[in-house]
Amino acid sequence: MKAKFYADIFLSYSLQNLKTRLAYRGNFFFGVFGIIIYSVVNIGFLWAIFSNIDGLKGWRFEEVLFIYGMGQFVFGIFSVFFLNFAHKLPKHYIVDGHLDRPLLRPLSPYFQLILENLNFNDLMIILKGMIIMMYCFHLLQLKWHLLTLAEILLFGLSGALVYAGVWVTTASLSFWFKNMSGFFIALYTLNHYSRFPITIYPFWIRFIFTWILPLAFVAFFPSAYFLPDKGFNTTALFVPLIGCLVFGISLMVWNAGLKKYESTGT
Amino acid sequence: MNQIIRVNNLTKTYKNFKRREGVKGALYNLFKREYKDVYAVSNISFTINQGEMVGYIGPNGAGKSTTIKMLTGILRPTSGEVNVSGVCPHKDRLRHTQNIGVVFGQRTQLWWDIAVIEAFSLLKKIYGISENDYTNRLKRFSVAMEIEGLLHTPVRKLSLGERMKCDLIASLLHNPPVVFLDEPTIGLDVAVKMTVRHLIKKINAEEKTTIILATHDLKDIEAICQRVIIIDQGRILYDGGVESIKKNIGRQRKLILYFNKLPTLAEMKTKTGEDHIQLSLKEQRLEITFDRTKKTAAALIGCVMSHFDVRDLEIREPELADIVKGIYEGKYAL
Repeated sequence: MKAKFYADIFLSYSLQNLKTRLAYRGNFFFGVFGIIIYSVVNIGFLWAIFSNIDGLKGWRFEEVLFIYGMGQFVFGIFSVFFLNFAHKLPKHYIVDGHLDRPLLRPLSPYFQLILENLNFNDLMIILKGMIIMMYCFHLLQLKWHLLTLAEILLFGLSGALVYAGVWVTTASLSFWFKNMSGFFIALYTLNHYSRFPITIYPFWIRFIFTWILPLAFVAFFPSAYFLPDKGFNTTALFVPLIGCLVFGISLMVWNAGLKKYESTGT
Repeated sequence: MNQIIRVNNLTKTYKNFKRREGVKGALYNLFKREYKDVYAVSNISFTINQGEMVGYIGPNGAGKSTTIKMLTGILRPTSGEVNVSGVCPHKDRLRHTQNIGVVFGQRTQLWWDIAVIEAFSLLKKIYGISENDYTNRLKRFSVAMEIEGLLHTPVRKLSLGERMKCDLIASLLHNPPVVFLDEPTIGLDVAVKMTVRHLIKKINAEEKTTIILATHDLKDIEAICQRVIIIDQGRILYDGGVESIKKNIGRQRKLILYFNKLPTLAEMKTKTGEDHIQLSLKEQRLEITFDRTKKTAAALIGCVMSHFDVRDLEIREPELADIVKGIYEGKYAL
């Protein structure tokens, strides 16, 4: 009953939001244009590096590109729902007090923040990730079945939970430490490096990406799962578990933060 | 009378840490902090009956917003009791939200990215308003506020005045028994202010809606409220009728006299026995400030007319704004 109520509100809001967005065609095309430029630069760099070396500790261009594609796919899913929310939480909602408004409606504040900050432009990033992955499947001559699609979808959703967990936790720390926005830059940088095969890094970096800030579970482990002789073919099975765990922690931090907000106002 | 809001010994304190000066102090702050309690609201009590329209005023930082936030359930009190329509706001926030409507003049409650009518129909879903009630209210309100032409405009494209009208409607759609208005007319032009005030009075008359109006614009208070609560430094300075503030506290009326040939100040003082007289040579006029409890206007005018050749005169009643300013400055013993 409650789920249906929320689904109904979610759907009607998103439809209206999409409708308004499509009315601004210029914005939409500029968005797509931006994504294309960004991708060309990213992939161009990868290609430039690999045209000078034979491989990266046994990893070929197509394989690293595959990780990149997976990363974009997952990031896109995360971004549609959580990215704007996380970025606006510290300053807009907490410091400037706009969190007051969601607290005045008979709906979960968390849900309202997601709703208000949906980012449909980044659906294009999901599409981009899928195209790159398909292209790599073709280059690497990998076979795929219906099950492969289901697995990619599962990895996509669980990976998005990892991202959401990390970003929302960071943003929620602003309930105590005022403006945490600066940390997002660090997260982006780390995220960038987590899209390379973690076997090229020394032990301590691998440790961080696996156990501290588990970004390796977003793109690397799921990709390795599809590539035969890489030796990580089972680690990816933990991705959903890690996703739920990290996301669960973020919800706890969020809830504690909300309590703090209710007692101090900022 | 049905008491719809009860506030009893309500207190809210914040912990502020003492900042030390300079670089060395700042570094020291990182490790060891001394906190001290700041009273934003200190032991206030009042009750409000259903259907009352109450102004809540005070200088910046007086504790107005803090009180409103506690009454709306956003903020948990440090101590004391709050009860609004039978619900304790911060303990049962979700249920409380159904009973109240809130307008913040400074920020919109509508969603930027969708059209006004879509925002309204989303609120209909969120609050579970029946189709019938929704259609009726929407029609009534949008006619009263003259926004029928705006319904399909995205919220981000509305002007401040238009947005405010829509915000007010949005807060009333679920027909809440209590409505909190926090600076609803800030930045609006006179015409829009009048429309907003009109709808507030209308809704109060038709639905017996209780209105709490926090504002700096005392014209709002004069136009809408019968009662006003004045708060400063977290304490209630005054709680009573708007008219009785003027009568009992603003006792100073002004008699303004215009002459063809201006008499001297000394002359005027001896003849009338009044001390507070101001002279304006440019307009050939004299202003006598007198206490309404000591002398009637009729007596003073009679006295002046019998001694001087007066061309014209007017009497000015004290402005609420001036009285309230006086109260903030501690001029009156309340």
